[in-house]
Amino acid sequence: MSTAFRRARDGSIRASFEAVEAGVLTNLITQLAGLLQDERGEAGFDGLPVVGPRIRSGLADDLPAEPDNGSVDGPDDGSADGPDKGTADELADDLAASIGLPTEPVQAPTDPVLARLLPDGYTDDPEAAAEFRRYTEYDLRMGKLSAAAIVLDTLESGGSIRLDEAQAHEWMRVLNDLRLAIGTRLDVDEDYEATADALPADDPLRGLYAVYEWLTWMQDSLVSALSKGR
Amino acid sequence: MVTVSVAPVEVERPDAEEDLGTARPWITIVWNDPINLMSYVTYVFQRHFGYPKEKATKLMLDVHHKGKAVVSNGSREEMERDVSAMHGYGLWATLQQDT
Repeated sequence: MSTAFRRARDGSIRASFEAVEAGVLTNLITQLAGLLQDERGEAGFDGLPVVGPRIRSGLADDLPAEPDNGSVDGPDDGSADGPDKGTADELADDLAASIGLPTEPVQAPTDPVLARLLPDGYTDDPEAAAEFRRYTEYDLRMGKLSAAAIVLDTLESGGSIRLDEAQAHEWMRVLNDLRLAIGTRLDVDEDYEATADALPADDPLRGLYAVYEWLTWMQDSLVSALSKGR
Repeated sequence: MVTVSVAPVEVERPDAEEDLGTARPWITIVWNDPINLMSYVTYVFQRHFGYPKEKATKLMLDVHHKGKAVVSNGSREEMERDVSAMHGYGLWATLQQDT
């Protein structure tokens, strides 16, 4: 059984995880990262890193490149274009694309979990919301992905973990993102516990509710440990 | 607490001049949701805005009971940075011009 996060006397943040719990967390984080790295190419962001156990293995460089899913905008005729071609606008678009920014306003994700993780910045102005996404969504995805990578690095295969302040902060954000993802899938509301209790004993969703409650417990203990200061 | 200012990306806005000299500042609103923990939301308000615990707790309770709270105000660019930061924490935030 995992132990909750606590502030140790040396100021570090400690917790421990059984191997099976570490496996569940790793699996969830890898799924979350898959959503955020836009693996289906829906958002048009290039260059978001793949985050998962194989990164930690140090073998990532030896793996074959990600297969081209054909959804990335390439040159019209499929051939490589030289930098000498194109107007200033095209060059600006190329530059934007080269640093991962889309060249057009970006629409909200259709997947409800992604839409919750990457919400609109404006409620009543779709145009401003799409422009806001164009300039911020890539960084938002990157921030969440790098936090996910830090959690996987420090979790390893479980056991006792010891975090510094910055790592603990990233853990807190990732635990929250996982709860947002699962909570959105389960459509939890303020009374979700009654909904969960009413499920038949063999309902597979019971397991997901249990994971959600475990993540809630872990996150709450981490917020409390971080609030205690050093 | 030491805060580090990161230079914002300059974004050209056709309507930027509208922001100048206006009496109505922009505001950042955080909306209620059933997933974010009350302790977490309070912690985020303290950490990001540097608010004392009492103020952060009051804003969190406003979000929880009234459905939303105005957590900061300033220029449009400043509010876009606050909204981005809230999204980074998983809070549901938007900006708009104060009414």
